[in-house]
Amino acid sequence: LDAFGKTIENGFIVEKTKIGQKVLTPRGEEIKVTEFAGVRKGSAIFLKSDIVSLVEAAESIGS
Amino acid sequence: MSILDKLKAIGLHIPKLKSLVSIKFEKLIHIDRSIRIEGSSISIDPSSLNGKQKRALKRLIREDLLSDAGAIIEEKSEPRVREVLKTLPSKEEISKKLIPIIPSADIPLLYACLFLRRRAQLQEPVEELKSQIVRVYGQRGGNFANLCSEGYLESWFWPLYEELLSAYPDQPAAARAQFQIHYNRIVSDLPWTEFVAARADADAVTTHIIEKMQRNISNGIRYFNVHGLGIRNVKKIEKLIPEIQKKTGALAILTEKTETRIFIRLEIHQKSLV
Repeated sequence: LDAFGKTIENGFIVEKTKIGQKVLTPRGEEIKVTEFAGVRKGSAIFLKSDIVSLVEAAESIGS
Repeated sequence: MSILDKLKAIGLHIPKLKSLVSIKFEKLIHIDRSIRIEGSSISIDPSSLNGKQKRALKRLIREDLLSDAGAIIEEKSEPRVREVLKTLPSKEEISKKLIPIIPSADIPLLYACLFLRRRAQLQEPVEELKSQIVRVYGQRGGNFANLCSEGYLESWFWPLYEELLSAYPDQPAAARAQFQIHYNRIVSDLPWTEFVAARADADAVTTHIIEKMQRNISNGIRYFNVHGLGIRNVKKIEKLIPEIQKKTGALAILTEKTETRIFIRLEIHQKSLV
């Protein structure tokens, strides 16, 4: 997270330089640290651990 | 310059490694080095690096690793991603056909549902994954998953698009626009299909199907497909069908049934409902 300028606040992934601003998935969802699954390319897209996000991550790796 | 060369440039030299499959970042306990090698994978302990190395490693992750790998995956999600990678949904024939014509926001939904279908075909559990799809896409996601698993992508959506292409031979954009109108309605409302949920009350299902059939008949649609999975669901559907037939005058023109799965196609041949 640190490498991408993010940190954890109150259990959510937030911007390191804009404290309190939650990081969102492309579908506009906030990301709890317990649901964080990784980052995929394309302006560093943050992923949740649901199957929709993980399939997108696999497609990004496999393409 | 390869990732291994870039690691070497920041002082993480791994001469024994010829190719690199994965990198983990973790605290390496009882090891007095910053790197552990396992096959073609390495574990790096960032806490054992100096400030300059840490900054260079962060830059490498951000600028090189993500771009090279396509994604950086948290360890607990890695098995699932590897499972998807074995047979990518985008490589399936139906993906190649539907990706250009469905709304772009539904492409991840298509991929997830194709993955779900493959697991179901292998008799692997899918309920939790389906719940995740519904959490992301709402009931629409559940509807799409049901349509996908019962083969409607191939048997209904693609033939519909081909038919529209014939109707608009020189206007593919118009065919696509028309397709999306039908597609959105079907995925949102399932007008001519009911996937009976295991927990659904039989009387409520009966009423719901009759209402849908009454709406359909006014639009000239005289058929209705009922699907169900699970032993209790099969018995429930068998019990409620006669009531639906009595109320609508429909005939069950096709029944496919096993102990755990049922499909019944109803058709109405009279001009109006009883």
